[in-house]
Amino acid sequence: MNARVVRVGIRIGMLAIVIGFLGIFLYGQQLIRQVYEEKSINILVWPTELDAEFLVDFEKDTGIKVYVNYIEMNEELFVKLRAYRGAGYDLVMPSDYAVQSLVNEGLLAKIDKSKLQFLDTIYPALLGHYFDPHNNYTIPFFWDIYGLGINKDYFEQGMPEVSWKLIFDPAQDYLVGMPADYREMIYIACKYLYGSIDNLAQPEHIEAIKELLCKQKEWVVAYTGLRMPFLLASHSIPVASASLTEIARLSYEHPEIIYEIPKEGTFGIIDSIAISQGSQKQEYVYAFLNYLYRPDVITKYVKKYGIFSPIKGVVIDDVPAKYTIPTQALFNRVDFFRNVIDQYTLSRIWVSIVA
Amino acid sequence: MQKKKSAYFLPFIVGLFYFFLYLPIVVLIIFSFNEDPFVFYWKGFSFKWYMKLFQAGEVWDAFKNSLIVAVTSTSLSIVMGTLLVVYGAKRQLANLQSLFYSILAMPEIVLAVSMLSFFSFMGVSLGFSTLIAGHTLLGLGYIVPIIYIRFNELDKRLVEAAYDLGATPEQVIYTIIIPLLRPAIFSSGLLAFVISLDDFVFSFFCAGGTAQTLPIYIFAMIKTGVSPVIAALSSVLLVLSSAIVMMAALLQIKRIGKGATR
Amino acid sequence: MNKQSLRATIAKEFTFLFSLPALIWPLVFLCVPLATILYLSVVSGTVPIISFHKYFQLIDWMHTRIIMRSLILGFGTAVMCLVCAYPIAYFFAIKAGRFKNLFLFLLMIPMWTNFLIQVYGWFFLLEYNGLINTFLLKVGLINEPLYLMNNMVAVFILMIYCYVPFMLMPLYTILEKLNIHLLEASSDLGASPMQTFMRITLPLSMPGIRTGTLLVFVLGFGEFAIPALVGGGKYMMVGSLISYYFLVVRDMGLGAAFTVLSGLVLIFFSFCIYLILGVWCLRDTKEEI
Repeated sequence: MNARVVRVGIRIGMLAIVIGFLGIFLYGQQLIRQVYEEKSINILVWPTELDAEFLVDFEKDTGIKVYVNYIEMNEELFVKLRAYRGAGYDLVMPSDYAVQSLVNEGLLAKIDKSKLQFLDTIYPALLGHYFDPHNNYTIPFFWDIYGLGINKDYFEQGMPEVSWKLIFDPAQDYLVGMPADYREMIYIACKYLYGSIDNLAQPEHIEAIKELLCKQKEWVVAYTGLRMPFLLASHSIPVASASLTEIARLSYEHPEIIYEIPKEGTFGIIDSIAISQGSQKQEYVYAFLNYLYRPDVITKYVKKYGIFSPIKGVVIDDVPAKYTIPTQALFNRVDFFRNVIDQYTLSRIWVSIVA
Repeated sequence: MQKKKSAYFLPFIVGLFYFFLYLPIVVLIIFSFNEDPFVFYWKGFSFKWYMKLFQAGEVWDAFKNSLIVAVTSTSLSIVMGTLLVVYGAKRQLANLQSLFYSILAMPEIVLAVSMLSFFSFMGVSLGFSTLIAGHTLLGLGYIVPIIYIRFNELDKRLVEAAYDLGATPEQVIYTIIIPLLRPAIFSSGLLAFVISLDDFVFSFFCAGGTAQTLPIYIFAMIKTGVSPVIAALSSVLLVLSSAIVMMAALLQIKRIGKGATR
Repeated sequence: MNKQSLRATIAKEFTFLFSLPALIWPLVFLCVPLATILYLSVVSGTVPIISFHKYFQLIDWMHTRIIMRSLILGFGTAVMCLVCAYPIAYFFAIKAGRFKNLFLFLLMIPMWTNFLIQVYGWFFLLEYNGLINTFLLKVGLINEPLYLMNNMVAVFILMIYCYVPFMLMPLYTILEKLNIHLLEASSDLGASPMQTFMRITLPLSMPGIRTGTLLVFVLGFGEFAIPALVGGGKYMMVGSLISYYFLVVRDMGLGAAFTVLSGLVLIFFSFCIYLILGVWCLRDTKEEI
């Protein structure tokens, strides 16, 4: 054999070894996870609604380890669920507008209601909405309603009529805050201009909304979701598009900030818990759900995140009671971010506004 | 008269620059002791945010993750980089330097996004390994050029002398070259370590949910506004990085004191 | 070939093995991913047909504006960093003398602080009720708080703060190599400090200026964290749009196409800057010599 050929052969062999190591390095975690079946469940949640801190007791009591993963957008949820055909995660937390698509793609499993002990403690106003009329796939976990956060003191001379006009077409010269989520932004603009979102997808509507939002940019201090309470409390802005959970708590410490639902109506959002189709650990999942919806557990994270409880019987002491209970009357004024327009168009609108 | 004025001009600018440089840091440290969380007025001295910080489990998890990633990726890049410089074919090495320089000269987001596409294309799940892969790449970009430059500056006569005295190539490498390269290895390794701890862009794209590093955690917190816990965390991190810098500086001084190997 | 010599050959090839990982790593994690991006930008879905339609989707005023904004940000930051960093580098290289190491050490500490912490510190300063406004109000220089946050002012301040080190290093390196005797000779021959600076120091430091400018320009072009954090979400930059396409819209093809597109624009403009500043380098050194 030629020495040269041997050398090349050896080199190729070494190359293969190194690449083999790299492969193990990259794929190793996946392989280990698939093989090593732990007593655990993987959940996918919003970081502002749940985290690992409250699950310590569950893990201690039952010995089931809960791996918490976070998402920032519902689209992320789709990608992550699709990636392993639902097998990577056991529990997910989709927003209302994501549920239908998830169900249609077969990514969610039907809930066995007999295994859940808390269903009658959930506020009836949160059940039976458009995305899951019989709640076969989802259990409401988080609810919120959008509206205006207003600094009363700024309008000492007389409070104008509470309408979305206050942020889209202010009579006075002030800056406002708008949500960062493009869905909220565009849907609210549509509601303001046309009263309903049913015809959102029509081109003239889209153009009008684009124009409105572009014009509005001049007096928007920031597009932010999480920083809105801070902006209001520090009196940088007198009016902001904010949600009930944000403003209600703020009201307690800063009574000059009030929450109002504009006359044109508003939107709400319900994040639900759903079981993914590929989950193999049904028994652990139901045990976890029963734990999650216990009043004492819900009280803990309601306190931590400043959100409202989906079940009755939870006392929230730092917020006026009228805000915390989701009544049917309240939800009658509320529309949801229904999928009336495809996401691609929606994102293009947003890019053209901030570009 | 004129000379006096212009003589003070430059130091004044430099002083202003240092003021600008230290301003946000000093402000953070001061306000981490502030009693009131929301308002920027001084309400009173308090350690309570530090208390909260030490109780917050997520912070320590994130910190632990950051450390694991930093230590692993730095070790990997040091070992690989040193081996490359010492064992690599010299001619090819000189040409390869531009490859390693380009790692640093490219906007990190392009690197991160390419790796993300690559990983999802190949079906690799995001997590610790992907993050370490990215940080090691960055580390190589810092370490290889630095060690290579230092390697070229080494006195070749020492190596020749060792060979003349009958040393085998292995002995030459491990008893002469590597010890001589040690300062460069150490300083570039330190640099890579700190860069990895600090890195935000890679973790944002390639970490997945399981490997939340400290910068990502801070980013999430900053998005919600001003929180004094982060101020406390910042002071802690500041003390840490100052300690690292001081350590590196002291070692430099020690080396100069001992007499540089030149 | 017998076992003996085979083993010997393998042993000889060990040097290759040792140098292999560091070669493979950038290949696998840099070159291949870049190729993947190129591939993804023209091939979408499972059908391997090359089509440029993703690029055509991106050629509109909206995306052009975003790219232009990033170019301006990158170049503006580079210019301002140059203005800020040059005096400092000059001071260190030429004037500092004995205390040079102390100054350099003091410089390291803020530079090695975590970038997000730096941003956070500036929050405290720039916010509507932040320290700067409070101070200016108290002193009476202004009647109403200034809007220093959530706009381009904040973005530029942060960019300068974070990128000055990148400009400082090349400048310092080149100024340090400057022959002090040249400066002394120049002033001996009767040149004013300004003339010495303009005709000797500046041209000789051009290579450093070019490196620093290019570095800050390229890195600043791709910056997305700073505009996202302190820009109030109002300014879409190349970096934010790439992050948006990849993480929010989850359209890898579109994101890849946009990355490639902005990459090409960046390379083109970097090349222009390189040539323009390079001409200056060559011309002056030729003249001086």
